[in-house]
Amino acid sequence: MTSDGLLQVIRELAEASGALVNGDPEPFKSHWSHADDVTIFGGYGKHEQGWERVSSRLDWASARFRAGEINYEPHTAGSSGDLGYAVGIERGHVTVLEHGASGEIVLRVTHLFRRENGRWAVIHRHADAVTEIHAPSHLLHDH
Amino acid sequence: MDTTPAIEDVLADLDHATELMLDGNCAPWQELLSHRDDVTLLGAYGGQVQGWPDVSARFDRTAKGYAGGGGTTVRENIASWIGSDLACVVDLERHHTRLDDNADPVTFVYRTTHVLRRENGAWKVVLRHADPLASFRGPDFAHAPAG
Repeated sequence: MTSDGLLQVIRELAEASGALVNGDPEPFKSHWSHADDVTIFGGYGKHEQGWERVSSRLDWASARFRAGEINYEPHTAGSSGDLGYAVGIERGHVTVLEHGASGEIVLRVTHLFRRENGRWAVIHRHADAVTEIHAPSHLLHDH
Repeated sequence: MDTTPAIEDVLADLDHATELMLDGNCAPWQELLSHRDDVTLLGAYGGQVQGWPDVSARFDRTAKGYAGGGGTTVRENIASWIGSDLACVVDLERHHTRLDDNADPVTFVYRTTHVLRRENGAWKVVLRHADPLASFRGPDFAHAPAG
């Protein structure tokens, strides 16, 4: 039930993630809806809503990355009408400004899409590094 | 005639199912899950599982960790996009329950993304993505540097 159009956009988004971790957020941002209702659950935690804030968050995150590479492992995707979703793992290496050394990055990611003016636009990104299974008590830290 | 329940009612059912889950009863949540092969869980405890047998088993396991009694949950909706056959809901979930054998209840907050699909006249959850990152953690949490 996934349209070919959505699968193509998912591929493009994956490539754009590669640019983002090299300090260029523009290709990734170009896939987003610029509407007020877009949201991001970023890998660093917390959430932002509205294109202005989401866009700033992507700029901020991208500015922290140098010389990275990301591969997208697609897990599942679907669409119906004007809504679509995609779930996968973003896996690669990034150099983070604060550390200065290359480190592994593994994110579970869900993207939601809405068809706008004939194209699939991202309306939500949910990313986290919770790829290992933890005991419940682990979740209580830092709240 | 379309007899599919309104999505608002289904989300209320999910809230109720989550509260029962916090008391150790995962059956109502499992009933709201799609039984198809593409049902996916990115649970707050980590990892990713797909397909009804594995997703269902994970709910069984998670529910066992909730000692039970007086679990409550408050869902703060951040955004919803409702189509005719697909619904996407983004929330913050504040759960209050007891973990394992601990006497003291705890509160924890999850960021959640749910996708529901209309299947045979019912809304079923095809994706739950939950994590405990409701507050800002920063780069150190997201990726540790090598070496």
